[in-house]
Amino acid sequence: MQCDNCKVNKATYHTIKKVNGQTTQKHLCGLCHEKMSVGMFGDIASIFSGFKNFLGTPSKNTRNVCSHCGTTSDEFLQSGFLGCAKCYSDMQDLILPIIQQVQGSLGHVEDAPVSRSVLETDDFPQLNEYQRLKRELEYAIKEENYEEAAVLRDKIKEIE
Amino acid sequence: MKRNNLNDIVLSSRIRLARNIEGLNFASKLDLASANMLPRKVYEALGSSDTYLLYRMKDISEIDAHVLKEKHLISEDLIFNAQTGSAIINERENVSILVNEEDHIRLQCIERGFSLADAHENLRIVDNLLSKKMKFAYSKKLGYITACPTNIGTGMRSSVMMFLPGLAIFNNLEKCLNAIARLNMAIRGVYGEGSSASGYIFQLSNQKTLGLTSEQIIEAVEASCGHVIEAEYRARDSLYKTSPSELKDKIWRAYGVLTNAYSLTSSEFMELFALVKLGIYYDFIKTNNIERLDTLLVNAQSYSISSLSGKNLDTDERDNYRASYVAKVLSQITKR
Repeated sequence: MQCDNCKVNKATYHTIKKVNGQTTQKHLCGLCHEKMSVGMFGDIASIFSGFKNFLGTPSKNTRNVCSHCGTTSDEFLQSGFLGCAKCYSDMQDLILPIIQQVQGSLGHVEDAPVSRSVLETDDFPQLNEYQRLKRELEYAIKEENYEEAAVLRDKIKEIE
Repeated sequence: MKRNNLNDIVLSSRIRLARNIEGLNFASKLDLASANMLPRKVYEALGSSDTYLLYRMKDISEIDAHVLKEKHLISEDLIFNAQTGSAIINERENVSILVNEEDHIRLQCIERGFSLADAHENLRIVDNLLSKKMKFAYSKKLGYITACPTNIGTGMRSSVMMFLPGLAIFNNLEKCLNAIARLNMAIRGVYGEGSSASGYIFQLSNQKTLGLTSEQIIEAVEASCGHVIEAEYRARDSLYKTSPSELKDKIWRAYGVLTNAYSLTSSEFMELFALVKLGIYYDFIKTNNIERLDTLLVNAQSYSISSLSGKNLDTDERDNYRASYVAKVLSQITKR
C-alpha cells in the first residue's frame, strides 16, 4: 500500500478512526508519519498504533501480558498506557524499543533525590522521622556527602 | 516599541512532573478504594508547608471545575475523571497537584513571564517533600516510571505559553513551528493537548523526558523559545513597517469593539484582545496595569465569566456579561 501523503513510499503506519460513526483511514510511510505526528496538534496515541507494524510479530519469549496487573500488549498499543510499573519489565521486549524510538534514549541520567535513593534500599515505607533521618545519614556517609551528613546528624541529635 | 522584558510575548511558564506511587497500579488499572484514598494521602504528605486546598471533582460544581481549568490549574482529563480526580492547589494558585489523572500524581507550577527555572525550583521543593512521605515508582535505568512511556525518566514537561500574533498574521508561523518540531519540541494550543490555538497563543514544550537532566530540558525549551521570540519580534517589526496605517486601524477598531460592544463571544474576544495586546506592544494603546489586562485572558473565558457574574448564565447572557465586563476593565486600565 502506498503512503497517502507522499504517494511514493510504502505505508507502514495505519490508523483507523471512528468519529460519530464515520470511519476514516490513514496510511502513511515512516517519514510522513513522523512529520505529521510532530506537527501542530500531533496525536500521541497514533505514535503507538504504528509500533505494531514496526515491531512485527512478537518473538516467542516475549510476554504479551503483565503478570501483575494483566495489561496486554494490545491494550497498551491501543491506548498508549501501561497498567503498572511491572508492565515495563514484563513486556520489556515490546516497550523498550518503543521508549528508544519515542525518547531517543534508554537511560535516565539524573540522580535520584537523596530520600528517594534511601527508600529504594529497603521496603519500609512507614518510617518515622527518626528512622528516616538515620537512614539518610547512613546513605550520606556511604556517598561521602559529609555536608549533608552533618546537617542530618544535628537533626538526629535534636530528636534524641 | 518596548522590548525591556519578554512579557509581551511570553505569557507564562509551567513545569509539570509526573509521579506514581510504588506498588499501586496505574490509573487505568487502579482499584476504586486506592484511588479514593490517594488525594487525602497526598494532601496529608504536604503537611503545613503551604496553605493548600483539596478539590475533589465529584464535590465541586461544573462551573468551578472549568474555572480551574481556564486558569490552567487542572486539565480536562482530570475533570473527565469525575469519580476520583482531585486537585490540591496552594493559596497563591501557582502550584497545583493533580491526583488520579493520567498518573497518580502530577505536580505543576505555573509562573508569569519567562521563568521556567523559578517554576522548577518551586516544584522541586514540593517534589522532595512528597518523596520523603511516599515511595514513588522509580528505576535507576528508566527514572520515574509513568503510565505512558512518553513521560518516563524525569517525568518532566516544561512548557512556555507564547503570544505570537506577528508570526501568525505574517504567515510565518508554520515555518517557525516546523523548525521547532525538528528540535524535538511540541507545539500546542492554549489549553494543551488537542486544543486549538485561539488568540494567537501557543504552548511550546519538550517532547523527550528521558536521557536528559531537568536542567538540560529547561535549557532546551528556553533556547527553542528564544528562536521563536526573536522571530516574533522580527515579524512585529515587519508588520509595522509594511503598512502602519492599516495596522493602527485594525488595532483601534478592535479596541473600539472591545470597549463598546453589547455582546461578545469568546472567540471574538480572543481575536480582538490579541490585537489590543499587540497595540500595547506598539504603544498605540497605553495601560497602567498589564498584569490585570492579562487576567482578562482567563476571566473572559466562558466558565470564568459565569463564575464572575455569580449566576448561571445562558449563552446569550454570558456574551452580554462578557462584553460589559471587558469594556469596564479596559476603560479602567487602558487609554488611547
